Amino acid sequence: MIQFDLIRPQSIEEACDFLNENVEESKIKAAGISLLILLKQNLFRPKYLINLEGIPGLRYIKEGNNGSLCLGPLTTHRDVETSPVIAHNVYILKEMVLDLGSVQVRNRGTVGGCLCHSEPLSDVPPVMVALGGEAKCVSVLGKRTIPFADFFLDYYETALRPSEILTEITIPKIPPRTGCAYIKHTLRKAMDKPYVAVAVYLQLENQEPVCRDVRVVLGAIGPTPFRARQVEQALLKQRINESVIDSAAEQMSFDGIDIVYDMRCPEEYKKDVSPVIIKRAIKTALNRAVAG
Amino acid sequence: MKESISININGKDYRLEVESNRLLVDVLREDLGLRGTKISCGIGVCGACTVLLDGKAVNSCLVLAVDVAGERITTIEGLALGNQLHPLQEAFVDCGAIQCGFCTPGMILSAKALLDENPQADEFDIRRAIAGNLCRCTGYTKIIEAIKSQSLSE
Repeated sequence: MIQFDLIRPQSIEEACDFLNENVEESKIKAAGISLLILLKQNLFRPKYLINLEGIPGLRYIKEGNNGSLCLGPLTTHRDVETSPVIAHNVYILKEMVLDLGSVQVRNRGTVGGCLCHSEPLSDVPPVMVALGGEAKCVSVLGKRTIPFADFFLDYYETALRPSEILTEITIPKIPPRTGCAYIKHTLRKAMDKPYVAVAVYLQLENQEPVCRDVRVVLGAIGPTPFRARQVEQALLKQRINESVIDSAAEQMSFDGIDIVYDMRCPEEYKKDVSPVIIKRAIKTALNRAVAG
Repeated sequence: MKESISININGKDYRLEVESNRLLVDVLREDLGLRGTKISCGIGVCGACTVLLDGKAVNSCLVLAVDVAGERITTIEGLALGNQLHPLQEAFVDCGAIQCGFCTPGMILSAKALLDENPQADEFDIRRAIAGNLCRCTGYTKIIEAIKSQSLSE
């Protein structure tokens, strides 16, 4: 494998300084499981790997302002899987991570690393978009916050500037009468990336099962997660029942979506299966919204 | 860039000089002669390279050796005590859960990590725990039987 210098900053500031000075030749490393695969394949040859793992205070799950959930970027998928806070407050995250990779992958892989990797077939990005999550980032120029809706630009490309580091993931509190669901359509029972992934956030009015707000996010189809706007429009302000859901799912349109090449199946398969998975995910979200 | 690191492997402390880009699996196999850990896919999907890092199962083909400085590693060689096999190893033998044996070290370590954390693991827990360990020979039935025989669950 290529040679590199492993840099071990003791703080985010130190990491930002080094990154800023060596931006063309550096890559940020968390656990590095996705990164090492790319290095083994000689897809790029950074001179420096800036190792974030030694920096204290980057691996946590805690409640933030207004009941929001805050995750450190080095939180592992296994941390998410076993967190009682997440199981109780943001169950869709646990639902998604239960079927992510394997125990071995989840013990090392980090939420931050996965999001910054921005792989089209990844499970985490569509869920973060559906939850309205935000990425807090830092560089020598200062701090900024990027909503995940704007974070994923293309496959393996995010809105992070080359000198920026993701330092926190925040998820707003899920209001009452809101149900979220993630369905990952695979052919195998384990160790499979989604053929189609759907993450739904469905908020109902207080008394009636009328849709107040909805996000239907599709993953594993385009190069980045995208919102199925036509489906959402067909649900907003409607009294949600099975037939409304069925009809809304049929509004799914792939116009303007560059379907990412997936060697496991033709484009037509993803297009044909999508409305089915969309229906299932919305129905599950509805049941959860009604149950409170 | 060469680094000097200390790692505890199977209860023994080692001081090693390794390049930053060496993978843990290669250091175990080549520098320490511990060839029980196998290399197969190299991309973290087959689990043949599974070792325990502080008791947790990881794919050693995707871990830099320098990243585990100061940590405790358990490889398959660390399970038996002299000639006395670990109960999981005995169970695999008794249940006929080994054919070619290539997946076995990783499989047993994943099972050990599971049972150490959840001694009452049921079949569902077992299947989830070994989902990242592929076996091309056995069809998994006897492997699951062997692990189940070591679980305290009824």
